[in-house]
Amino acid sequence: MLRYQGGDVRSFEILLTRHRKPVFNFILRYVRSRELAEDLLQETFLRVIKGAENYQRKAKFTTWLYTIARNLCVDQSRRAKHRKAQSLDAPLSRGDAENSGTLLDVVSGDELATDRKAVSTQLHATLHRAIDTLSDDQREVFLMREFLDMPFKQIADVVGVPENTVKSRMRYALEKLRLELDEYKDMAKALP
Amino acid sequence: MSDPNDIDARKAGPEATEAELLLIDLLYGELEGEAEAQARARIAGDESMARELETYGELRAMLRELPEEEPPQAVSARLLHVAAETAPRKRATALALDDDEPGLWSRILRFFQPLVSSPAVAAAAMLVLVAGVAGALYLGGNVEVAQPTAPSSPAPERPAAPAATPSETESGESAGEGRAATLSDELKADLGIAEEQQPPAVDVPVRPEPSARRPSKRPAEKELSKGERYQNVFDGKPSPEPAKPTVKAPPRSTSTTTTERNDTRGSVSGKAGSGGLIDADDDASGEATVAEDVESEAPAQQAPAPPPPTDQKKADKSQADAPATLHRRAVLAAADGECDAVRALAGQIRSADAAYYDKAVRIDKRLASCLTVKTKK
Repeated sequence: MLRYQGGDVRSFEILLTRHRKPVFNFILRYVRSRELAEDLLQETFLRVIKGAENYQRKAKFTTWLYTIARNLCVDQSRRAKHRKAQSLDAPLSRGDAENSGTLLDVVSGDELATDRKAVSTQLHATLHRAIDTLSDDQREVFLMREFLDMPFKQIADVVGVPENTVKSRMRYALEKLRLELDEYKDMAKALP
Repeated sequence: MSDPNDIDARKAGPEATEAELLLIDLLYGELEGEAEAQARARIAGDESMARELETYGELRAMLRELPEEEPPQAVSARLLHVAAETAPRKRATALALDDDEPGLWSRILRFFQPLVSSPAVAAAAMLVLVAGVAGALYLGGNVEVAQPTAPSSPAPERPAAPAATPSETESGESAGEGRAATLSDELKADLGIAEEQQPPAVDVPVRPEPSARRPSKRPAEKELSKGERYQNVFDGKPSPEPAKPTVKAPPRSTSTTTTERNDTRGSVSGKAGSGGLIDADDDASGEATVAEDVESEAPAQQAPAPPPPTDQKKADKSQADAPATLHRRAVLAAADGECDAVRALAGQIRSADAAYYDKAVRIDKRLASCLTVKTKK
């Protein structure tokens, strides 16, 4: 980042290649919309470009980067609060629209799929739905820890709360997911 | 912020107990060494916590089933484009902002900014620059521009100088002239002497001022050589040696000198009214008498002939003294006993001058023997 700050565009390309995928998946699982996730991914790195001039090496670059992404997700989540009602026919995952079922499929799915692809599709939809049930505080901590593999201390720096608070949120998020996914536990075990 | 490895120093959050936080640390591997061993020992002693740890482990295994999705390349491309556009500008801006007064480098950058941003302006500026440099070099005389030889100075008119004169060497034209001369020589050698007899090559008029900068010596020499060759051709001699004495005449008056030297020749040149070579060609193909006269010219040139006005006087005088001469010839013939010749000469004298015949020839006793007989008849 310091090299890009000095005008080296190639160094920015390296940063983008290294971090775009985890940041995109974090945003995608947070906002649950691929189109929105693409916009937020672009906005995240645009803010990196704009803020590069004032970047100071006080913390890790990933902390700064994920703080930007997380703040954008939180803002987006706040804006979407008023339209919380979700269409039952909307695909659960826009990027995997063909394979992922709708929320209606998950809700009305009494019988379990037998083949692996169907089981996997159903499990993914269930996992997404379970993650969606988490509160924003719990979801962001859970996503950072599980999908960005960030240490609790760094998550605490990003979120701006004590480390133990992060762990507590993580613990309750896991407990809620366990309850949501308890009935699909056997399905997950059936996957080879 | 507490050290995650120091279990005793940690304080539990408001929502979770210390055991629950320990469970989370152990689940995500944030404990190391002795702290991890202590945590495992503590959880192993609590059956509910051990079961909870196992359940969370299974949950994480399920979450790992979620596939990661690739971000669109278009977004990456746009970002790289923006980064490339922004980075240099940012650097230039930073340079400009470093000092309140812009430095030399930033001034230079600012000066060339229109050229960088507009390729058309850059191309036009480059064109003007190249044209300016080329013009300056040309006017300064540092660049030799290849000049076409045809329009201003035809190659045949340029004499094939055996060696460059100092002035030629200084003016820098010797190279081109030498090359032209060499080509001219080669051409002459290939085409033969007939090529040399081209009318423009023979009669070189005095050139007007612009092209007459060169001294007139060269065209004169050229004309002399042409005259020499003309003499050879006219005489039908392969070697120029016999005609060389005539070459000594002044260059510009070559044809005139030839005319004065030989009456016949002069009349031939006069007929054509132009260069001698053309006359020579005409004469050679035409009158035999002229050729004969020219043939007799060579010995006359070797032995200096009397000037043409003296010859004319002698002819006139002999013409006036013809009866006396004839009279003398008749006397000689009579002495030889050739009475027929005496009578013929006497007849000529009487027809030419009857008075002289009556006064001198008729009463001449030396002729009486021949003339008396005839008289008697």
